Amino acid sequence: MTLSVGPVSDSLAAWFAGRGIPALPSEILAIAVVCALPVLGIVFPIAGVAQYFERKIAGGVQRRKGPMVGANGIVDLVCDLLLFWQPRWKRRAFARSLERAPVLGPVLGLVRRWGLGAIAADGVKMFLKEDMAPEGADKLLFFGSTYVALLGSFLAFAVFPFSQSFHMGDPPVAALYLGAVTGLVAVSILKAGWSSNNKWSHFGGIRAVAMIVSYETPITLSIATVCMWSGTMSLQGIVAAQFRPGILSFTGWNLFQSPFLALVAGVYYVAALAECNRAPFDLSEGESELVGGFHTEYSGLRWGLFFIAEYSDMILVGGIFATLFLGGYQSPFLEDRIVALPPLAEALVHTAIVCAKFLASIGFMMWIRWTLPRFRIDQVMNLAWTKLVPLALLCLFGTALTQLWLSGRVPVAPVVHGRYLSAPVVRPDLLSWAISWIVVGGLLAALVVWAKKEGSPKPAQVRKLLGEEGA
Amino acid sequence: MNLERDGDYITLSMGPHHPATHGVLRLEVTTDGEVITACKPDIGYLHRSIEKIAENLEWYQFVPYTDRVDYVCAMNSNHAWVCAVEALLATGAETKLEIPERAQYIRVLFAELNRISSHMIGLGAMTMDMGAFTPFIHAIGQRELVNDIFEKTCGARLTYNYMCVGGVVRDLHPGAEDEARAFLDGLEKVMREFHALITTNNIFVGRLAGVAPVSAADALSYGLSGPNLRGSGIDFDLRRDKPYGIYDRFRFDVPVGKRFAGDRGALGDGYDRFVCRSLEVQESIRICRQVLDQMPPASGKEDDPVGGWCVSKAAQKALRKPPVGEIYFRCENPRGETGYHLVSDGTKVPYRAKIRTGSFCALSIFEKICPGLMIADLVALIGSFDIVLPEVDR
Amino acid sequence: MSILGWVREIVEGVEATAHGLATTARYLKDNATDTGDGSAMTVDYPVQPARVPDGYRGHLFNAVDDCTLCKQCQRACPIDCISMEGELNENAKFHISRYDIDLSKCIYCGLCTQICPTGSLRMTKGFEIDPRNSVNERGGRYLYRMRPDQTRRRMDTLEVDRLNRITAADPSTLSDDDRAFLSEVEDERGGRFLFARFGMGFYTPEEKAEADRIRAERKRAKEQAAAEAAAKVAADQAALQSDQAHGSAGGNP
Repeated sequence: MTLSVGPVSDSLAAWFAGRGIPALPSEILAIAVVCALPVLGIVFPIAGVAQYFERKIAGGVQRRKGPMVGANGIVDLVCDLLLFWQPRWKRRAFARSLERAPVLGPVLGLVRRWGLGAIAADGVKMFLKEDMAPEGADKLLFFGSTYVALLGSFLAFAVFPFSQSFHMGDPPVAALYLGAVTGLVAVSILKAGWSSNNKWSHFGGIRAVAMIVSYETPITLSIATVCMWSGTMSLQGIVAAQFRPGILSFTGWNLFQSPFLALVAGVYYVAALAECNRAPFDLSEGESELVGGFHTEYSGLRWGLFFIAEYSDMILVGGIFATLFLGGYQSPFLEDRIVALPPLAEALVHTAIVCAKFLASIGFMMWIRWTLPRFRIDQVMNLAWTKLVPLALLCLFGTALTQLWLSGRVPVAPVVHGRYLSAPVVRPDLLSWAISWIVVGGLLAALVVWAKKEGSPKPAQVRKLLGEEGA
Repeated sequence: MNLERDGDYITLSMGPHHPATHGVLRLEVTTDGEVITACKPDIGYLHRSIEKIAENLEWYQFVPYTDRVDYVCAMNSNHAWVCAVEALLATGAETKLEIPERAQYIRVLFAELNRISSHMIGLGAMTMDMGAFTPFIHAIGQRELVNDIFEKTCGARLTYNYMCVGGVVRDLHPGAEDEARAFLDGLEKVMREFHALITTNNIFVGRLAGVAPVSAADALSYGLSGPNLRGSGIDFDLRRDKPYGIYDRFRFDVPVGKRFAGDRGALGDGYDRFVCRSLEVQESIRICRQVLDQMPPASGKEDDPVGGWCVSKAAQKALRKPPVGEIYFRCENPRGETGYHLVSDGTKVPYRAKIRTGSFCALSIFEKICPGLMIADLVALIGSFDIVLPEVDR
Repeated sequence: MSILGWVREIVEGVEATAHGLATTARYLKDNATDTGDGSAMTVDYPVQPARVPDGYRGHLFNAVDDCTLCKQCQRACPIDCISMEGELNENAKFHISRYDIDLSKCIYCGLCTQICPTGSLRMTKGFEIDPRNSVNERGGRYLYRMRPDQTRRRMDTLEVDRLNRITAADPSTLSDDDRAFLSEVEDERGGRFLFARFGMGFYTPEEKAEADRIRAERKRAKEQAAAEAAAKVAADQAALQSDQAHGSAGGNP
């Protein structure tokens, strides 16, 4: 029996075996490398750098510079260590002279100009702060909740497709599995809030659980819609269903297949924002109200792990959005050429593409954060149950209708990428696709225009504030 | 974790270390988890005995302390004190002071500019409490421009100590009037963007509309003043109804709350107060422009008294022997009515100086209107009353 | 809620979000294309210098050459942070021996500068607490006092100028003598106390007693000389008179 998580780990195990390592340990080692690589190699570095980008984007939106930390501290420290016998002013003078060195100088200048030292500063800060638990805290829950938070997102990465063969697993019910494991985050936040022996943290935990559990429903409905459209619950299958040969590969993406799918994408993204506790849904850690919410009492690396869990959740959610609606790891152009590349190159290109997609999604989340104010908990619940769930149900229904209408008009899809699909994939021809968009889009637009006409106008004083005429 | 249970309720202590209480305010909140059943303010964390200190300092020496009574709008606090002392001196025939015209205009200009910058903090901090960090930064940026003008004239950015009994300390710096005009033009543009970004935002209106509306009767009986009073629909502004200084020479409207949030809102809710403050900024811009148009030019003479205390011998003499008596003088500060009740026994040191501030009275209504709110609403409420703790605790 | 109302609420939410995003996108673009002409809201201090205008109420500076020790500033200060002493030096000239402003108490209100009749007390543009950074009126960077036991240390003009020169220079160019002098006036840990001392000529009680003694001695010597001169004049007068008397009595042969 061989242990394997796909062709990549197979080839890696073979390479280890070729180096003289016995069969079983080489397989286990290969699996470990393949499983660790996405998390340690992609998620951790991005999460580490994400705070810097978050602060820079915040500064950009607010007309200021954001973090501008240079590398002086690090350079001083290195000089202190290397030249410890020199007097202090000589060490400092040497450190300053490094700024005029041939290669190092421009690099240090770049670091200073972009403030990249903030990345190192944030990282070091996390390690150096005291790791403590408040008095009366439930130690097991307090220390365990960080790990459960990380678990919540890393478990989901187990089924995430980075490329055709680079994944940790591809169960046929991956979508169902996703919906199941993302709920662990709620558990961890509740644990953190409760075990902190702090009423404000407790509030943060309760709010988070209410919110995450509520938003599970629209997320599951959106995933179900896409699974229904693609005919499979496997994530690799969903990606494969969006394959189109030719230059304009993006026409296969689920976002463009039907207006209902586009709406469902919107529903998914909003619900995903809530799952990540990101603004405007960040009331569980609401900085202005609860200081730190559920993670108030955490410091040092423990807080850092919560923080990494939040960003890895963002990465995961962005990645799932890309997988479900944006064609996953496929390129928007010339996808068939990329598929034809040798396996290693194909894996690298595809991984880079999916990274670009979820980085764009993270950037968008950061952009939204600095734009919108925060909801109140009852407004959040209101949004989930009275707006998102009915909308998702409507879109599910509409997608089913569209699929029924289109299914008589196109042939069954052949085997794609060497993978099989459990049900025929709907591939509408151009005319049917155009008709479905025009009809449904027109109906929705008419509804929107009709609804807006009924609205009450803004009062005169508010129009005066906006500088509008006639106030 | 121990929950102090009294039936089903928890007693929370919101503050004194809290990002949203606008200072060191402690609110003892009894809640069942999210909905508040009782809220008792606990103040005194910023008490500095300013009124007692006033009994040991000479009349002119107290002006830096008035800066600290409300440091967000220090010019207005200065203005209130010096007007009060001048009114006290005016009760005696020999001690009545003649304040130069230009000094009067400069006082109004700076008081209104400070009103604008104070409202920038009031509006901006409120949006920040709601979670929108960007409009706050832009509002603070405008405040910095006002502070730049103040810094060039009087040398300080927060505690100005610029007005003195008899006038102002220094004349405007060269180019001040052009800078002020340029600032006002830029401010109008920035405020339009600010309002388009946040004031009409659905989420923001939803957070404030209908939240703890204050009825007009309650507003009057609890002594609310300023935008808090006008937000509940009562049309009263000291600058127009009981003008002090030269406010009677300027034309401006007084914004009054009118249920601006539409169907979702109620008269006297947080959104009404927010919009009233925003409209007051526009009215202050109008007043500033009128001041700049009407201001008499500087005479260019070296010893032209802008009325500074060190220059004006009359003021020095009068303050050494002020008339005996007491006076209560009211001024319209950005946060409400600031009143100084001065009791003089004829010496160069006041016998008693009592400071009446708007935020203190605004805080007193919390116990009445908080039950039924959620905790997030409480944060919105503190912001909508624009409470600053130095005023409350003095 | 009607269906139309439901649709309207969703549409309004989307509109509000889109409008907000457009505004913040514009802010991002403006910030990215910022030319650094000062229209940015923030200054990257200390890499960029702080924008301090003239007339800024920074640290106080008293040019004691012009100070008359009228004590008006001491009376005007609401915090009572100014104290001063003056004495006669050995040449019987009035001399400020101590002019202290406790900068840890000063609230920078400027009332003392308003009342100063000679204009010797003024506020500078210095605001940085680190004395290595703030520049005083004489171009040096040393505005604050050092150890409490040095409160009575005498520093004449030459030493103050030397201190100004040392602190204005690049630390790596200092000679060992300069470093030794600097270390004399610094705390072991490089700490400094927030006193500002501007008096030019501090007197310890011993030095004061010495100056009094010298002054009294000179006065006594002067009086003695004057008395001797007067006695000499009197003696000459007496001699002249006695000569005249003798002369008139003796007659000329």
